[in-house]
Amino acid sequence: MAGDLNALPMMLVRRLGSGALTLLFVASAIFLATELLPGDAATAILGQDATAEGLAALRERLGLDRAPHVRYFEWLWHLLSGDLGISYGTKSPVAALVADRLWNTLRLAAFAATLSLPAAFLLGVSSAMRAGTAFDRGLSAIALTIISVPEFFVGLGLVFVFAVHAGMFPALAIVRPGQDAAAFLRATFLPALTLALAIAPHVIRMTRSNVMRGLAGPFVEMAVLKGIPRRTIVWRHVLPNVVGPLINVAALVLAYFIAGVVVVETVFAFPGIGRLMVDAVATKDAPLVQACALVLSSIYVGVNTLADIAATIANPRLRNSR
Amino acid sequence: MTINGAGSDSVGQARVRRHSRRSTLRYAAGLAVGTAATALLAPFGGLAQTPRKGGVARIATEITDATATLDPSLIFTNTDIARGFQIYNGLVRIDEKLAVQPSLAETWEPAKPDGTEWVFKLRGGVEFHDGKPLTAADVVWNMQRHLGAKSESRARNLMAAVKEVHADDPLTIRFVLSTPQVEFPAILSFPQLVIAPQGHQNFLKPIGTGPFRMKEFTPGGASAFVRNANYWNAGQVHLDGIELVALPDPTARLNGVLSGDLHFAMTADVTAVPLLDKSRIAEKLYVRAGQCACIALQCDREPGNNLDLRMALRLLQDRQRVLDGVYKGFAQVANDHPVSPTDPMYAADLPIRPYDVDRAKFHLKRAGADGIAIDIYVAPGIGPGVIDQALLYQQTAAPAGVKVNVKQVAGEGYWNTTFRKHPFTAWHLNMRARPDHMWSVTLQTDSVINTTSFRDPRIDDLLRAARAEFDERKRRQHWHDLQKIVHDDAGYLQPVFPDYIHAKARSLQGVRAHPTAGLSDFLSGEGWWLAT
Repeated sequence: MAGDLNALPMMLVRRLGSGALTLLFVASAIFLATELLPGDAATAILGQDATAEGLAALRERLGLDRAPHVRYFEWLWHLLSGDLGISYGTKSPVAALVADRLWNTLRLAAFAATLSLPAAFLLGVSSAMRAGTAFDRGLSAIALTIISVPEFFVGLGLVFVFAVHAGMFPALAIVRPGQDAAAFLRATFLPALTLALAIAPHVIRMTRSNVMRGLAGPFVEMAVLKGIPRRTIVWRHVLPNVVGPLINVAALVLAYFIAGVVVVETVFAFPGIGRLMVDAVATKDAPLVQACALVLSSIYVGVNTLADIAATIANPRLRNSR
Repeated sequence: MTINGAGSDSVGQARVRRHSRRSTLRYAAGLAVGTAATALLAPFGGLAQTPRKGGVARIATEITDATATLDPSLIFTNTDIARGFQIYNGLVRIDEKLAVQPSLAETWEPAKPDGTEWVFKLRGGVEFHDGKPLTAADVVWNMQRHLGAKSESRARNLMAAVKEVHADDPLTIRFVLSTPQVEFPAILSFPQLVIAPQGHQNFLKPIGTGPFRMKEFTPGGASAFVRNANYWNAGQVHLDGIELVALPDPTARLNGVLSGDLHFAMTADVTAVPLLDKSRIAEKLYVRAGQCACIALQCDREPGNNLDLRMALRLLQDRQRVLDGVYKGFAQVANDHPVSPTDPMYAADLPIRPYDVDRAKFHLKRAGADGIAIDIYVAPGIGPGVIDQALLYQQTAAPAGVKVNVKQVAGEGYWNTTFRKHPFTAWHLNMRARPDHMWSVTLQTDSVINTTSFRDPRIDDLLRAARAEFDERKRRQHWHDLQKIVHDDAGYLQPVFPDYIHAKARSLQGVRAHPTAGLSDFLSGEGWWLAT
């Protein structure tokens, strides 16, 4: 992370610029990929029943009879004027479909992050402070075990124990219209826990190694010589120095919770944006695929930019340089 | 069952008698009397339990919801169909014995002796959800959406023989056909041919005459329905509501029922049966059917254009092993043609082709195909158990020196990029209420998706003759001959017809498993109730 607080606006502008370019690149790549896939929306929608006339009529109505570059620039033009278009499959506005699913995904991500991040950071710090002890080694072994199990397996295991046998939580994270917060939390507890378990070991390990690195710094030696208690050293001196990389870890975790959880969404039948995109790819619903890709890559770019800003603000050296 | 209460039972039977007098629709005649009498008792295990009022049943369908629609003419997936039948009714329905039963139409009859004109009489006093009365004009408007070359309706091919539709009076509709169709009423049971109010085009806010009204519907999300207190068969609507969600993942659907989150999940794998049998809150619901899930061999190109080779390959199917090994007994033996023993037109006297390696070797030699290697293309989700079928076929074909290579491809886009593009590809089709509904798209020589590219003018002639034949005995003979031709000469490597297995909560009562499953109205919630 380069730059001090004064350079922050500049960095923001640069980041937004490169972010916009990234988005354009992603959108073009996705468009190209959907074009390269065999079949189109018309064949996907009509399926086994497709007749030549039926396909021609549907292609004409969807505008698929025009050349790909014409459709691409039309889509881009509409996008710039804030119109995400109409889904081929459901014939409803893409913006509403995506917003609905994104809201679900964001809520699940927030829930999973609440379950995993604070606990994982604490465990990571404690582990670093007790490096080499039985606690450290035990935690490390457990973390490695959980990392090695695929997350859908963890999910199915949780369903088996907590839903089918104990009946404590629902097996399906069905989001119903008009559901209150408590019902939502209950419905999404198992997927949130699955996500939390999938990510916590990584966070614990990253935290531990960063704190260990900080502990090896010369300023820690100085602080020890001054007689500052070890706890104070860690919390006051080490953590602020390693918070940058940790915020980046947290950002990656959040981005993963939002964009990379299709498998967990499938196991729990959770209506998130990942499954929307997979379904849209299956039906070659180009406007919907592109909108999902744009939203997901915006989140990646946005979360990472925010993380850099937060790291800059949190670092005492950068904070005091004004 | 649409017949409501004791009073209308006699009406139902009178109608049935009239049909048998005209020698029409023996499908309906022979079976419907039995159904009318037992339908109210059968679903409850013969016990005359009183259905409990109230409760919301939660059901999960199978097909992903990315193309969700409530426009009747575009309804396609079993999710659309299940939603559609909450809201809409058709003129007729097909019951679980495959008989045509009245729904919005109370009676019907051929208006010309050759079956080229049909008259349907509507039930009086039926109201749409918005309070408007149902009239013949509404029916005509709906039907016309399926007619003509420009129509985008999924039922356009089904209705291709319909030339005109008229309203004779506010309760009478006349269909004029270009060719005779003695089974025309059965066509009107298709899920696309349901009735919305004339001119109503906002299908995000659908209006119908059905047992439930739409409460919530977002394409791709869970949908909710509430009871239509004004329903014309209100005595059979016991639930307060229905919630429906599409869950493409079979494990998620099964877990939903096993854990009590769902009351019904459409289609479970045979491997789920032991779990369901063990569960205290869930159970299986299965029905013998005629769904086709098998390998299609293309007859118009190498190597399948040789009858000896087709014969040899079909002799190498060990039907019993497929039935026991792949389907754990939840299937019926098939005879290399797509009419199942569940269908009243099934030719029971055709001997089942045996597993015979020696005869297969003889035909292979005659075809000059000793030691032939074939590639079979399969894909996940294309027919239950077909991948395992192909793997088993690899073993049963090996003793004759046939090397089978099973190639698994992606399920997405399968129908347009793989199916029939190679000499051997997996095929799946749900059972239809009448074999003609299937044969007109898979075996007629000019059909668009001739499954095995088998073109034989005898088939067209026999189909035409069967469609014009009111005498059931003669029609049965035509169907016998049709099955024999396909059994002898075509390219269906069809060892079995898999049953439909569903998962349901023990508390859910009144569900009648249907042999046409996802194409029928069996998830409409009519007659369902929740025991405590």
